[in-house]
Amino acid sequence: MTAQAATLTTAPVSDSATDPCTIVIFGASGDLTARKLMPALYNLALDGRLPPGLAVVGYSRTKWSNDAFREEARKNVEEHSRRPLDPEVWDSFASGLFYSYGGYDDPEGHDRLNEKLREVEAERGIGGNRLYYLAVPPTTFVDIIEQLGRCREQSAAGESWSRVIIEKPFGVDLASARELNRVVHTVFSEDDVYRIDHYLGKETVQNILVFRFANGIMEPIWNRRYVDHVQITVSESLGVGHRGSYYDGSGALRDMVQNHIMQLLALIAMEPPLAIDGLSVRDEKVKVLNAVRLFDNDEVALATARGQYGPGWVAGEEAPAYRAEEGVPDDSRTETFAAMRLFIDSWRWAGVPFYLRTGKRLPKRSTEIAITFKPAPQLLFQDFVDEPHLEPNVLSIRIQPNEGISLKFLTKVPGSPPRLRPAAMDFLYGTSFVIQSPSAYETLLLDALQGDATLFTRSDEVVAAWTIMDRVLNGWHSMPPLELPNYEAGTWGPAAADELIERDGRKWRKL
Amino acid sequence: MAQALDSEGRELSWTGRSVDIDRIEAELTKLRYLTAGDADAGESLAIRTSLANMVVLAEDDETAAQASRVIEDLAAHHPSRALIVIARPSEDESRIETSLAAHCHLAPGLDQHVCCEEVTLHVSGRAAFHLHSIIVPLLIPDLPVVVWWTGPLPAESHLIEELCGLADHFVVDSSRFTDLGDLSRMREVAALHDCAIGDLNYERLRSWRDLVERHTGAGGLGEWISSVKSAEIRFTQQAKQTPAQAILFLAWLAVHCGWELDSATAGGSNRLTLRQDKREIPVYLEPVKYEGVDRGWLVSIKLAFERDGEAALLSVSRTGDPLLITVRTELPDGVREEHVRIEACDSQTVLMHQLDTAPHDPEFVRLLIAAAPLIQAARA
Repeated sequence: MTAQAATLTTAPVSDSATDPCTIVIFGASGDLTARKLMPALYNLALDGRLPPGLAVVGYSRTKWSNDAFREEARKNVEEHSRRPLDPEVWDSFASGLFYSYGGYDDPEGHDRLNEKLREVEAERGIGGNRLYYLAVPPTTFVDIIEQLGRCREQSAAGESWSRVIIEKPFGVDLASARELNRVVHTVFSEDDVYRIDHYLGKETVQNILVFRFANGIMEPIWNRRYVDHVQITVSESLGVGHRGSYYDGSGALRDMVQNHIMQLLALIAMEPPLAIDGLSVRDEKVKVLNAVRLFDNDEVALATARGQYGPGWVAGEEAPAYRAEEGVPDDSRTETFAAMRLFIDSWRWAGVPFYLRTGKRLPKRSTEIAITFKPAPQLLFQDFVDEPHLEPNVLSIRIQPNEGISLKFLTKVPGSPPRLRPAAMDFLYGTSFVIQSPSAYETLLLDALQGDATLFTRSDEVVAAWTIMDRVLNGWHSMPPLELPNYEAGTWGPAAADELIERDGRKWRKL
Repeated sequence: MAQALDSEGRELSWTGRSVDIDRIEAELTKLRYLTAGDADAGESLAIRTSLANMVVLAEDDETAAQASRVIEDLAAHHPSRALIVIARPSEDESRIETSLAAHCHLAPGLDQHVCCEEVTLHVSGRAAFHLHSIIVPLLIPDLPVVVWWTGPLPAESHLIEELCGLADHFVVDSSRFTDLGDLSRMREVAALHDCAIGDLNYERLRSWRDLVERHTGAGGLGEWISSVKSAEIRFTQQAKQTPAQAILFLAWLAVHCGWELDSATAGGSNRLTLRQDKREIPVYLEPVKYEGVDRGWLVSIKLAFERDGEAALLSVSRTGDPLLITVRTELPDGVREEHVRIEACDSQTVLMHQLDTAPHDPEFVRLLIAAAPLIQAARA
């Protein structure tokens, strides 16, 4: 093969590929816009990474003017931006902010919005490219999509593109996810749908691919021959806060496992993709999710655990029981903790358990993937340790906080008598790259503007993840009711979670 | 809230009042940025390293400051993230005051600094009853947790149990105990949570044990070991604390000489009686005034032997120099005297020994189990 014939299999998208466009935010007066989207857009503006002339049009039920929206956005940026507000950059950015109000299922409101969009596009000379962001409760997704479809039929699409970013949760079970996919596909082609899981925008999550596939030493040991088991933990110290009524209809499995944890699992377990592009990476993620062994009801009882927190103390503060949180019914049976053991029936991972756990009101906030390797084949140094077993090598990938990678191995303590002690080779993003990383939303918004869907979830991924979770939900539904609450706030979850892993002779990691 | 950052970047600190754990974690991250150095500016990057989490429970600021100095001195050999906790449960307001420091030392043979973080937490009010909830989020994941309990044990075991639950190695200093029964209580709690237990006070006896072991072995009083007639253990007088070091030494001596600890009975003021093969062995525990060593530490031990109508004596005693020990052996064929310089018994040295050796010390645990009747008799 000559150099000229070689194909570039990666598809880096430069900033110059960002077309002029309008971002339409549904839910513009909501919490997500305030805390994440506006600060992210402002930071992109600060770095000069937004397309020239970009307009942002907010839409929600709140009756704001353009000026009120701008004022609100300024406050949000001042409060939540990772970098301070620069007045000159702000003025320029704010001149592109507009607002229109109306109900999400209200045709008149959407017509007003469409009119506003046409005015703004004409005034700023930015054509008809639109990125719709559904920063709204999932109950309104279908209404908005249908209205977008109706409005689109009324206008000639021409050469411009329309993309839609849809926040999680995408469905509440397999059937609803399929139905939502169907509705979305009546208006948008799959290539224009960007199901966002902000975990995928985190630098450390993206670094999983780099770590695995840009380092030659990893791939040979990344399999059942060398890996004993994998643990994925997403723990939160906070409770449900003001999201009680939403969360109570969701629970830990739907809120965390189906999306964030399944994505982490897929990135850790997937086969090497042919290229780092939206098609190849997502193809491999789907394959590995489809290889996850599905539970039957008996296995759900043995290989999963769930819990709900009672009152306790977290980080030196008294924490109420879940059932005492705002918006949560007194007799709620929603799980705030979920743990499970999965197997992936593939050549690479046959027989390797993947232990997953997530919960609210756990002792600390931490997201980590830990790959525990099998012990050395011959115990030459057994006499030099005081534990019955040599500590295994563990590669831990910390997603948050203190993003980094750590490898634990045994070393000899200097001196005599001989003694072994674990030590860690620790890579911390913060100290190795002394620069602030962009927020996940900055990364993902820019990717969506550039049409790069690699870090977004495809419809078949969503279906694959729900197929796994549906079995768990059905199993839980058929089991006798649990005594709830069954763990104290500030502890690592119910005893059943410990029993789940200890039955296999293993323990959850101390985080 | 005050912030003080040294532009030299090698000794950095931050203090905050009424802060939450997320803020502390954020400030720790900031410290890490600052201690990392600037490679682009030609600075060699500092190595931030920790081989353990060291959690220190201190009664007051003075003890906390002493612990801080010890940990800083240990940092070159045992770099740790240190959490020094001072609990003030009697205060009304529940709050956390925090100060952070990064201690950096030049690594031997390297042109690089090794940095460790120290977090000092003053916890007031109700939060002080839930220290576990504050400590756990600040631990570095997957590193051994050493808890150093510097003072007397509290009457209520809740916190001890919680800390044993998270500790791999629980280090106490029984010289600070106000009740000898705490030695047994500590062992029971540690066993319940599968946590290794260490005692700085027992560690201080290392030289004394070595000396007695050496002089009661072959070539010394080895043939006399089963013929002890009486024993005398003198220790520095102290007001509130217990004679824990003397009792620990006696327990070790009893095991070493084959005495029956089950038979220990109180026999009047400062006197215990043990048995060996139905023979009574009186042991005198005598508090004395002695300058230059800490309260409750051994001053001298004397073992009197009698066999076949002949007498022998082993005496191990401090001289005017607290680190100089005189060992005197009186045998029927003559008297021998030896002066030995022992290792310092300050907290840094004994803690270093604890950290250097395997945390699980089955011999010490067996000793504590065997010593239970002795402790009971001594309390009586």
